[in-house]
Amino acid sequence: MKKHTEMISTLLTTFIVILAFQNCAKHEVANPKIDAATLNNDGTPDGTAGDIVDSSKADPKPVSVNYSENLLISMQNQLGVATPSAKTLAAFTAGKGQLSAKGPFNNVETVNQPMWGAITTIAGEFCVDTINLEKAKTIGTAAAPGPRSFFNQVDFTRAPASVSDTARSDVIRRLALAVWGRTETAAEQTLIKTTLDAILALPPVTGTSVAVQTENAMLVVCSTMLASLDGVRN
Amino acid sequence: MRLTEKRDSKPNSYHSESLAEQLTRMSMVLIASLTFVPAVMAQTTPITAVACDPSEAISSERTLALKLFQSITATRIPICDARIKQMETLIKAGNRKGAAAIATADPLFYDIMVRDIARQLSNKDESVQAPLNDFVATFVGVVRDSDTTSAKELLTGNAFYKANPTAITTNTIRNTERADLVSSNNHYADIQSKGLSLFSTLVKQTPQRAIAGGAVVDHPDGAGLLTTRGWAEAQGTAGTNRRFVEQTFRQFMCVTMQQWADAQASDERIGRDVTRTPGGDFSAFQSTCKACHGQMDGFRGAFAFVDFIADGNGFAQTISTAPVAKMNQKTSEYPNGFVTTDASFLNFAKGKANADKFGWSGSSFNGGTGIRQFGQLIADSKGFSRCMVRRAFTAVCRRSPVEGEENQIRSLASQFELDNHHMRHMFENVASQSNCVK
Repeated sequence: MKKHTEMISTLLTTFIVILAFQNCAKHEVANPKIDAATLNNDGTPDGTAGDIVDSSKADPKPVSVNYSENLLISMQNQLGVATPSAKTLAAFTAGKGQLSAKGPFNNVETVNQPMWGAITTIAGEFCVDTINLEKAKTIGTAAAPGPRSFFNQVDFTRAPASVSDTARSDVIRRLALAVWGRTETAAEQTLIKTTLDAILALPPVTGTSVAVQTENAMLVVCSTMLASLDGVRN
Repeated sequence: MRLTEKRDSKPNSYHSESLAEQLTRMSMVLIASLTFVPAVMAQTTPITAVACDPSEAISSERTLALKLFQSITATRIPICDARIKQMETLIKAGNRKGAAAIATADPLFYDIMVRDIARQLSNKDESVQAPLNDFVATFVGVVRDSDTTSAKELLTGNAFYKANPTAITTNTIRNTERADLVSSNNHYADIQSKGLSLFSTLVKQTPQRAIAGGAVVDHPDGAGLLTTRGWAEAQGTAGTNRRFVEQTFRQFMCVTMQQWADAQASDERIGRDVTRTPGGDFSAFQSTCKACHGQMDGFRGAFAFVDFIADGNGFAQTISTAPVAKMNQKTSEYPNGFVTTDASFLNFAKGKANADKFGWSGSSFNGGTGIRQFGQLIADSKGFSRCMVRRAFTAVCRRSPVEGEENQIRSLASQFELDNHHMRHMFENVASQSNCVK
């Protein structure tokens, strides 16, 4: 129960982080207010609050995000989760109504708060599945990577402090390649690490083991990156 | 939000259904929604966890390969996936179309992108959340079988797609012909709820089947998607069967009724249920009503014998031996209007306003009899080829073609025709255009 409570707490924290983190990659923050996020494709802010400015002016393709079921399929493929847990599927079922019903002929170019909330929740559950899969695999080292896809050097039996800066960078890079389809920028890496540090500085929930704290810390990184704009762009 | 153009907005209501018709249609939709509760199933196509090398350099060709794959399949996968690396190699060799072919060979292309295109075409609301049905399955099947099946079969083939026998047995798919295929959508609901890959599950079945004289019979006028149960449900429930025509042009010619309205078209086939003096003004009929009804009612006769009604086992596409009542309803509205007595249709959309738009050709140029000949007329036209290209362009490039790209659309459509209307190749051609995926 405590773990569950902490999970919810972590996901809420993640959601907050994501809201402040929707401007990764080629985007710049015009205004971090995201409650009515507006995605421009021409790189020109329209002056309204909540703009996310896409600076890739040469590309006439509108910024659009995954719709409905292809969000589920994409997250499966991005993280390599062949069989999502019942909880993940339940989260998708619950959140599907918040996702756009638009499809190939009319792209999803507006993202509202409930939609981000649903995406975040689904991403969080997918990341729980991923961590569970990774925990069952042997830990590796920088010199000798193991079979894990994302958390190669993370010891899930120890406290978050055991995760070195190199290991954190490794996690971020692997997730960026799989989830964003590119390497992260230095600014993004700094932002993620800073956010992670801030979360770890919070007092742990009473009774939570250090192992769970490590798991939750990785959950924050994974969920934040998966549910960010570049993680769900279509 | 300011973005490039989307799909044309839905047309204004040019034809008001009566309250009874609306209630009938809404109640059937409600029944359908109550009886079909889609379960969420994740992808069953094998997914392998990929471990990206953190030190690996990502080339611009790799990035392009990823975008191309994602554009074609509507699915995100890791940039270090083997398929992306293979596409990268081809792009580096200048073979962008070859790279696109890797994506169109992937089950995700059929299971996600093509399925969702078909879903949007399948229902009046153009929702991607429409259920899987025989319309969607048949569209996916024809695209998958492009090497042996022309896209013209979409509108002319007397065939449909369903789950193969092994899949039916292994996954306990309901498969009683009348109960689960002809009078309900149970068969397809099961395919969807069990998350089966359409790419590997579907098999072609001939001929189409429908209800006639209270029994399941071979469809006497099978015409691909136009005579699927799903299309009949979407377009033939209540109404006047004009929706069949309007939606055929909307989905397969890419024109809204307003876009092909022509006040110069003949009114000789306009039915008795259309008033000639709306609001007491005959000129309003001449300038407004006739512009749509002239051509639409000219074609409507093709669907004279078809209805979608309760059949005692559910709801089914039924074929009559005489025009169904809704073809000749409201006789007092304009008693001198056209009376439908057979399934003949006339093409009044050949005038100056629409000749180039549709590019008619083929043996049904002037008209014909029945749905299959109507489908043939559409399939033989350049408008159909261009529309399929536009559909692919909009889906893959994530935007509609802009005005300056019309020549490119026409060129791709000509290529599509020369290639025996090969849908998969057409998608590859579209996706490999330099102005599509960057």
